[in-house]
Amino acid sequence: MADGSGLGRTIANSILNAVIVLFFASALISGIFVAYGYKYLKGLAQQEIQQEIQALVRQGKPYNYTQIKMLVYEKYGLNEPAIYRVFKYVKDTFLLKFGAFPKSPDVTYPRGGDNAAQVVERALVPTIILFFTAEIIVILIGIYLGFQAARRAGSLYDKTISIIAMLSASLPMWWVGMLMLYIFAYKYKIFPLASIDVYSALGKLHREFAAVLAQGFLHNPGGYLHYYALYFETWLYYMALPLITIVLVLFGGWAYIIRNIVINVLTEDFVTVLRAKGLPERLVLYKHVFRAASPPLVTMSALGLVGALGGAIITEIVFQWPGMGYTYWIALNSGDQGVLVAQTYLLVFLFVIVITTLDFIYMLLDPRVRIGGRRT
Amino acid sequence: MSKGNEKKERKSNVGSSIKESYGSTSASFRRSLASFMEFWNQFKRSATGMTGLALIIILVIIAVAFPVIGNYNDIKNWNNATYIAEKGLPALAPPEWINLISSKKWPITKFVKPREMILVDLKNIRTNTSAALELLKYTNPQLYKYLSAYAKSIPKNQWKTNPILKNMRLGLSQTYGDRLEVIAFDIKYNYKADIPPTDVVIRWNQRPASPYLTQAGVLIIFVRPDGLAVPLAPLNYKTVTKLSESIIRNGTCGSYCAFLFNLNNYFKIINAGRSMDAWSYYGLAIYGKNQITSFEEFRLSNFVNQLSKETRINFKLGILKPFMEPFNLTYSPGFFYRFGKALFKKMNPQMLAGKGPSLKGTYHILVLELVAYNQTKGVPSQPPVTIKKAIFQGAYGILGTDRISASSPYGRDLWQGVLYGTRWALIVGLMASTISTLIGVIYGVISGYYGGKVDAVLNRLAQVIYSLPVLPLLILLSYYVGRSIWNVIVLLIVFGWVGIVFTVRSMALQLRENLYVEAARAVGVDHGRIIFRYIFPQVLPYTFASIALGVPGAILTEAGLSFLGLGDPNVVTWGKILHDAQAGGAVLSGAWWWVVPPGLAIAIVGLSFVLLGYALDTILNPRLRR
Repeated sequence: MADGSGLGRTIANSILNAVIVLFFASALISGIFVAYGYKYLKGLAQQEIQQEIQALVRQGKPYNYTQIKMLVYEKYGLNEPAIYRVFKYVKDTFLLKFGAFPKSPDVTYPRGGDNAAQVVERALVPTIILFFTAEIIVILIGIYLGFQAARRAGSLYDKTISIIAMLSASLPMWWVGMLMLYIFAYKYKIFPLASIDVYSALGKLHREFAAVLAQGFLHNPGGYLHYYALYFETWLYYMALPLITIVLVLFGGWAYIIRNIVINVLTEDFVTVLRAKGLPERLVLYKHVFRAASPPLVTMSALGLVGALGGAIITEIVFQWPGMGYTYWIALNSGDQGVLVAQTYLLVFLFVIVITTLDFIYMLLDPRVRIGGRRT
Repeated sequence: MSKGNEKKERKSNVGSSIKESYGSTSASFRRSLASFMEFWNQFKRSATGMTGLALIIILVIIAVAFPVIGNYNDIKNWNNATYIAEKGLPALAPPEWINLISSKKWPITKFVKPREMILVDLKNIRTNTSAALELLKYTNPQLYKYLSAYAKSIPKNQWKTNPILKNMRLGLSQTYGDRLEVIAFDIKYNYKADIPPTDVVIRWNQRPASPYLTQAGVLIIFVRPDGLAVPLAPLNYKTVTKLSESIIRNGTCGSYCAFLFNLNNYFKIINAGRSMDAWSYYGLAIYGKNQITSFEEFRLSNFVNQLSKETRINFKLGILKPFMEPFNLTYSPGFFYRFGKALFKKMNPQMLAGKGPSLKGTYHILVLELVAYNQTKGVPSQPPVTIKKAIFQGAYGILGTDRISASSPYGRDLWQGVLYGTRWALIVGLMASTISTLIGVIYGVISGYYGGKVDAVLNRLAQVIYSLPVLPLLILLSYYVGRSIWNVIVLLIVFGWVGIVFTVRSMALQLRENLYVEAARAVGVDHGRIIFRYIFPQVLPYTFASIALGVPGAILTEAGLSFLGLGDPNVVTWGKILHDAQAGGAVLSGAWWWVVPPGLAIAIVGLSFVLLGYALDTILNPRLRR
């Protein structure tokens, strides 16, 4: 069947691509870590050996230095030849098992964590919440403004959108974040100077409402609603500034891209036909043009996401948002290489998953792919 | 026309075009000049393109001419703490034009050089009324005027018995030596702002102490425009205002009769078994017979901090007295006395809280160098201290200053850093973008031209690299590879070349179907020649636009890496300045002048290239991309 084989081949192709990319990334990362991270691992191992010896001495037990060293080195994989270690790391990272990457015991992260896997796992959630909320808002604003601009191509409105797009393309998002922080947190004190406390604030709220929450929703709906209102408010209080920053920097570029796509679609014959039939302009735009424009929109959004996530991650640092970017900042500044490596791979993984997902959505939206046509 | 004829005609056309391209260089030069002129005529009409080009030209001029328009020493010594300390710029000073937007007027940082100071050498001043009067000339001109007139009216032999004049002298007990020399430096400071100077710094050079010295010291006295002299040491010193009031009103010094400057007390205090370092914070530095302080700088803010830590209340009150006595204030232990601010406020009961209107006018800061010795043993050949400079800190320069570390009192001139950053922004942006675009174009052309298996492999590889997120890998690699700006550029190229490949590849796929390519192949021209002579030139216009549009991305990425602390530590870039701002808590200190200019500079460079790129894009490749 032409239908199935076309779609199947495309899906297989994009999954293959994702697998190759992830393999390539994990090989690169593992190779670098093995090549450069030896000293770091040895330092950690030495620290652990000392601790174990001290513990044994405290208990008054005899110890064998060589034996302990052997065990600890084995744990860190320091005894094996480099090539074997690369393979081991590739195998582990590829499957997102970061157990092989240790974390420096002296470094603490905003959400805690005993090993690299826990640290990056806990950093993932805030980043996803912040970044995807921002992206959704940006896409909605972008679609609205982009359609409006396309409808009135060449007008002042349209030109304004283009200018905003050009301006924001050259602005570092994290710098805009610093300005926002200066204005709204330092000068006017509307928002907090650091968002790092968001989880402790939520925890405090949860403790305050522990009695209410224990009652169950049906027994105390008012209390529950109050809790959720405050819960939402807490998120908003800490997240608003980074969220506004991301939206502010991204929406212009988005609107401009959408405008260009829509203008292209508007020149097509079917639009003229629909208009000639007397269909209301709004229906033409938001029903038919939107449908035709959606595949390229998805492609562009994949690119947009990839481009924006990098900036958003650095922006986290400015606001001390307890996500991946801030974890990077801590790991980089304290030389915690295990977390650095795990964080990098997780981020690569996230990127690839997002892009592959959007690829699938593209396939569902584009009839040419579904019936076996070739993507160009 | 029949099909055959058509083919023939085309072929002959192709032949001639091939011949033409092998033709004389002057002809091809003329042809390319003509096409350039055609392009230029179109480009001139594009407002955005011309704006972008003008901005880029200005930026290039700044980058090239930096050694002329900027201070290259500042850049070379950007991380040199000794140089920065020697220069002595205040930390976190706002730009001087802050007075245009601020409702409260800031003082401007002022450096006073030794030659602008008045130096008075009062030889053998000990218990000598005329010398004390001479000193009074600098500490209280009004009182001096009165007293010198008074002294002139009285015969010199009666001075020793006169109730006023007998007290007008510097007292020093014999144990400290039989001769005392005072060298006074008078540093003038014209203060007209609403905000007090953020700090006052006085620096001197020390010379090894002479073996004949019995005692030496430096004493600092602030003389305000209202005549109040405030010594930064708890001397047995009555406020000169009260003294002068008493003398003028009653004709005697009355209850204020005491030594004007009782140096016995002064030396007693400075010898009172305190560690040298702690002493260095006070307005006095001392030299004993065998001791020299390591201290060569007086800093008002340090003085105030040490004063707040001082546990001996009498000592503290001795210094705060001039501001407390007139208002009968009592000492409260928990209160932080803002002595440094009070010095520059009009007399009011709240002045020690740093409140009230500022006292504008000319301040005299007297640095008294006191040298005591025994004449019988020997005379010190030279004074132990020479003043280097005095700094009254406030707003500074065109873009203010940063702070080299959280606890440092020193800053750097941000204008120099921002100006110099242009150079590296252009180098990084242009180099990374040009090289990566060229690599990508060649790669794409090869992939598209060969097609088939070569294309499949190359395209897959490009897709893999394209799907890799650049930033995390750049972070990891720059962390490990070593902090050099060239490494960053190389990494930007390694990950940046792939973006253009797909467009160029599809262009090449079209171009290779052109008849002249086919003909060239038929004639037996080798692939390399076809690629570089027939296909590459067709793609070139698109390349220029892509280079311009790729510059902002490269600059932004480099800035991002530098912001993360992964930049070259020895190269001043805008990203690095912003990293320092983030690490140094610029936002939390309200130092917007540290944050705004570097980011704005990044935005301006980016915008200029975006403007240029869009203009090039619309002019140069209207056909191929559709």
